[in-house]
Amino acid sequence: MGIEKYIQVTSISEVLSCLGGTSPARIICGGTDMVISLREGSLGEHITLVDISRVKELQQITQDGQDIEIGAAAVMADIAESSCIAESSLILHHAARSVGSPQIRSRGTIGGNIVTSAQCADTIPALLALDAQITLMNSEQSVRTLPISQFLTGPKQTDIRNDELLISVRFPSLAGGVYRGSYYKLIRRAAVAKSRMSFALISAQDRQGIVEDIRISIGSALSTHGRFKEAEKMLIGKKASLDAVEKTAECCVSQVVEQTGIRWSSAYKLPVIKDVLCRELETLLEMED
Amino acid sequence: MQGTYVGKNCLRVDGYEKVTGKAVFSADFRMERQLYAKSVYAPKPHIRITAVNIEKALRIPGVAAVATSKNVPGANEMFGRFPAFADQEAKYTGDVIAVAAAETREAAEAAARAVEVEYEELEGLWSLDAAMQEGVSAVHPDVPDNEIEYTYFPLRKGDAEAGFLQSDTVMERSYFVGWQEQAYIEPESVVVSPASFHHGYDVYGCIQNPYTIRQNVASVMGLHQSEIRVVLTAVGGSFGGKDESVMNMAARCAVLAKMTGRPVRMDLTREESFRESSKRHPFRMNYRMGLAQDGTIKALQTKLTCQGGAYNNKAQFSNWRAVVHTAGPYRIENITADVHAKYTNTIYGGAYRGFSGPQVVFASETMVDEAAAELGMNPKDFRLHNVLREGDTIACGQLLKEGIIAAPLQKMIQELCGMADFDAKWNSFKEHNAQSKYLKKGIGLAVTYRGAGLGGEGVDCSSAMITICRDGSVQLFSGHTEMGQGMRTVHSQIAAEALGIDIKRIAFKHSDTSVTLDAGPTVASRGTQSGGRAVLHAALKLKDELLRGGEKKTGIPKEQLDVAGDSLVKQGGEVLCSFDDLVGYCVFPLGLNLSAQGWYSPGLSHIDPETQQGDCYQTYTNGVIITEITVDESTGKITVEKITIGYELGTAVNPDIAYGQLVGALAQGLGYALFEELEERNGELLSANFDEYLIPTTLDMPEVDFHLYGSENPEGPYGAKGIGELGIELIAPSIGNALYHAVGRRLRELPFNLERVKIGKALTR
Repeated sequence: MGIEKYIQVTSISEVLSCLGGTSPARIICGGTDMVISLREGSLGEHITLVDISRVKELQQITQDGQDIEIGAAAVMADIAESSCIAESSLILHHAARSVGSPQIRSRGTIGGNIVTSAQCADTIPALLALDAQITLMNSEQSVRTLPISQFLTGPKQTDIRNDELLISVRFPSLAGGVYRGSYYKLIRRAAVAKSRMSFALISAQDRQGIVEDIRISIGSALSTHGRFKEAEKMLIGKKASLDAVEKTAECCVSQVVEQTGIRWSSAYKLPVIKDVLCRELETLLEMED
Repeated sequence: MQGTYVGKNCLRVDGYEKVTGKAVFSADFRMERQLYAKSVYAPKPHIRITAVNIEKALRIPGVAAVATSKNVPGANEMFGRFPAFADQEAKYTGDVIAVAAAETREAAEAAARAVEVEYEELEGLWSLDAAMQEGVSAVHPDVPDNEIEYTYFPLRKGDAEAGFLQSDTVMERSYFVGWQEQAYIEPESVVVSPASFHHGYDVYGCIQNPYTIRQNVASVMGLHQSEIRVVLTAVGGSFGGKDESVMNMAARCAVLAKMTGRPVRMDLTREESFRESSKRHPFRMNYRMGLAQDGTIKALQTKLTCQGGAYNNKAQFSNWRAVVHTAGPYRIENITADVHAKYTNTIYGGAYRGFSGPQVVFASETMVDEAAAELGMNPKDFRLHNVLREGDTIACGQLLKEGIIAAPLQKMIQELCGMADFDAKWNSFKEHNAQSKYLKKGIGLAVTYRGAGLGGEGVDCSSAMITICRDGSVQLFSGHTEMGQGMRTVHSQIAAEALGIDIKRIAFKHSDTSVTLDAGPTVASRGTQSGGRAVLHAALKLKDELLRGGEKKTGIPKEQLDVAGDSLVKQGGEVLCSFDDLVGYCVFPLGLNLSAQGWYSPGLSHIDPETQQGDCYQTYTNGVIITEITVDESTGKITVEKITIGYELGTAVNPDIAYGQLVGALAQGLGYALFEELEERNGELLSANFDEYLIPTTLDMPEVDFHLYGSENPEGPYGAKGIGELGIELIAPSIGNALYHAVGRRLRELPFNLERVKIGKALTR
């Protein structure tokens, strides 16, 4: 599989010390994506792997005031089982629980999901909707923080630099407030399949039913992961109605076409985006009669 | 029937070794000094090969040999035109041009990569629809019309044209189904070694049909069949699939074993298995049905065309099954049906559980549902009106008569629809759908009858051997093979029942062509129905010999003796002596032969080749399914909620195993219906592993309300019929029919994936 060196580390500083220099190591944690790439030979020859799966500091799920912080090496099973996540961000709980199979969930990490940045990554739409922030540290131990929407730069591309390690992802808790959310993952069979598309929605309405906040993110829709800000603006400040919901969904479809053009899959995906958004928004929002 | 063992849920005789990991599968089997072999596949699906340079490969450290067609000592072409090594031309993506053998897997892989193939790309026939056009190129130059040899079968009953003239409504529909991969858990693996004790070669591996492999390896090696020995390891599933690919692999490894004088093993990766193993044959199925206003089917005309692929040694048989079953279990007096098969420059079709059954049952059961809808009839009433009943003759002219061939479908449809609450749900789901914006419910029915056994595909012959050792322990050999289906357990139950002994005495011995008798391939659901008869034959011969010994020992005439409950008993049940003592006495002083061969063959079926009228199968099994689904109209996703199913199969020798076979097959049928699709582009496979080719998981299986129906089958052992394949046929059309009920749209292609359900067509990349 082209692996020349395999380093098992137990602390962040050890990982960082492997990342400097001219031929930095590749980081492996759960291996659910990396092992496939290694088997295909797509990572090349003479690879140094640094296994961070035993770095305890990277596995924590913690609450810091209003913020929730998840270590990059936290596995999906732990996120799915965390009461802190279930209370603060139900859509992330659902996203983590929908990943692969029990075996995949007990190996695959949130950091891997973010850094691999596949179109079908299950947690990314949820994190985008949660306005998550990414924390990185480089080999000189300097920290960089940026919104996940800026971190994800293209298809399977991120802003991570060769000497950087993804430390954690952080977002404000939605617990106890007016927020509601929904996460819907469309897959071809009941489980253990790549998502065809995934829909993460967060909303807040006042007592009169005026939409105060709406956040829409759809996986496998845009070439670069992102939110549907134009569509969101159409709903904010208004009462939700069937008509408003349909217009919002149509606006999302337009944004997809604008960004990706018409592709081989558009004949299916565009009507699904519209219909699923309508369905999910109709359920999520208190509707005007 | 209920006996001491027959009709009971005995534990699997091979269960312990499998659940404890002790069973030796082919990849576990190791030989001293074994070499690893790796294939060099055609770099493009259709090429003229201008040069093959193996020099660089031979220089890689650890490489022992690289074989090409030049090294084949015998015939390079096997049954079905499969080449051991492609030489002038590669006709599909899985053709193998050379194989490297080396000390390690890595060295073999490096050597395979280092083999240089020079070639010119050729145009190809990439699809069945392309091959059905006039004036296209020939896959095999000596077959200009691409019609696979011996695959055309006409079926004629009554006068179809007259039937259409009498019809009030005539409907025409076209259906299509594509490839399906068997998806056994264990990919193919073989080891071929120069024989240890004689001249020739020993082949070990996960093999479904050892005699076919023996025959073809012998031919490639220029040896007699007696010089090739095929020994089975444990087999991790086959479903018809571990045949052509392991035949090709064994032949190539044998060539390398000869070149190196060492054992050579080849273990396929999953991608290689997808690339070079057989699949279920695709079919284009055109139906024309004539109907009277009262719902009677007056005439049927069908034209079936099978895609064979680049080579084929199965369409010759599966096409015959297809045409015989094309009309479904209905009393149709006038039928004209024709079936053809075409070569294409693609992966090839072979056996997959059900053979051509799932294809034609999808078409015929969808057609029948469409006919009911056209006439505004309830699909249950339409079927009840037309379904075969006692005294009818089926499409090939066989008479349905109690005690000979049962006709239980009318009763089964009524009972099972009652259990599933079909009529009430038919109405209530429509009411629900009128209210529900996105989620629609549907209920669908499908019915089948299936010829059990080989029938007119060939001459069915089965073999068995039973030996009683001096200590009273028993060795049982079958000419058939265990692939996970439970055959060893069922055969052991039949032997124990017939011999009157404790089943624990029986050790089921391994398949080894130097010991077992050529019973042909273990296919066509005949392991129990035909193989079990051979076991019964051997057991009854032995029992007769034991009773002869008993007569000598006790002085009581053997007609008044029996072996039962592990003892020699007198009529009425008085125990005379233990089985051990009886055996001891037969051995000494009597010196009796306590070994027996069993053989069973119903002989050649008598079938008119111009019409397929005749005794096509000895018997038929029957099935009825009612499937309830939910369709998400926003995404096109179908969820199967509940299945009510009933099968008529004579005696279930082991009801638990029958359940496992039938519901396991149902799961494979669910995959065929909803997910499984091999994407190709110009002959290359785009889905070659389980990330892209999706099979169902346990979570996709719905609640199954399962019912067995018994019947008399005078031909089967203790009345049993073959059931290995029946379970896979019904689910696809029943889901399609439920989909129509739910959303009013009819899909005529499988699988019913998200795209077809949502937008009516599949998307191609």
